Amino acid sequence: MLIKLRNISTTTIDVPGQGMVLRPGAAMWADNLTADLQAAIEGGYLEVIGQVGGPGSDLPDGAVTAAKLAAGLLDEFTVVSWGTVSIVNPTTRSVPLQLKNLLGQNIGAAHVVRVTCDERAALSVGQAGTALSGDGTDDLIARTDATGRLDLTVVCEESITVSLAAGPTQSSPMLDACTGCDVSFQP
Amino acid sequence: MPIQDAVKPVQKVTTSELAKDFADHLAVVTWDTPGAEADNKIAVTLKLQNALGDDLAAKERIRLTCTEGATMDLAAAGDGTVLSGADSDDIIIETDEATGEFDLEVTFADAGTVTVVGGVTQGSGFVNCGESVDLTFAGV
Repeated sequence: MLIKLRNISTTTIDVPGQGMVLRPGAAMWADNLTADLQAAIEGGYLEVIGQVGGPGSDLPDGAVTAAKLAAGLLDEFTVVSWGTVSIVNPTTRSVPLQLKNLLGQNIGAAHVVRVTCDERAALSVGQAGTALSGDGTDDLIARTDATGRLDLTVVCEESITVSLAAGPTQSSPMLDACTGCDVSFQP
Repeated sequence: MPIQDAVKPVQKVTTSELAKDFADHLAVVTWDTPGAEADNKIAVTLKLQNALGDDLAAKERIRLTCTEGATMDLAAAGDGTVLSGADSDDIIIETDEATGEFDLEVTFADAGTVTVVGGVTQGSGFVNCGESVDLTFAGV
């Protein structure tokens, strides 16, 4: 929050915590109301005369981006991302699913997701996460671990590319699962 | 201005203040006005909008279900793709990436109202599917 302050004392003052002096009647912007500034206001040296936007006024249209959301709100928008596919053996692949926010930062929370794939392959949960139903099938419901990670193991006996799709199910958060993952079993 | 006013939040954020890129993450399913019934079929276009109410040209996966007895499919030469369940009452579709639309055709041989409801499914993004569409068939 930007706050505009004015020196209402009769002398030039050293503005607490701002590394500058302010002449009588001069104004400045501070990027926060620190304890020192608050003490200066209460001491009758500085007066709050404004803030960005002003109380009750509107932001310009289009001003709010995901980057401006508070952390708690940002993490309400959960995005599925996929890590690198690892070859375990000729018929087994491992791929991590990671939940992120709209800024691409990991979400440190356990959430439930549904993962489906080609019926010729089977999905199970590796080290991170917990299978809730469908372990070893093409339709798995699982919970990520507390870091938002779910390690998936994909088994397929055929030389095909298996597409994985995630999606929301019972108990899921608001989820963006647009991005899928192709897992190749071709030699 | 006293301190207590200054430390209040600047304001409550409204939808119109969302940046377009952010608003485009929040898709909303809307429906155009249905066409006239012909040969027990009614065409209606599903159209994506963003949170600002602007048309959203994006590929989005949506599950459509409808009243039992009716079936759904992509209209001839229509925009979009049926991923599964063609000619059934439970289909998964993909909107056209260039238009954000899916041209749906619903077939129902009886007289009555067919309700079509959208929902998120595997591979969906953030989609608000709160709006359904009712199609009235004469059954002739």
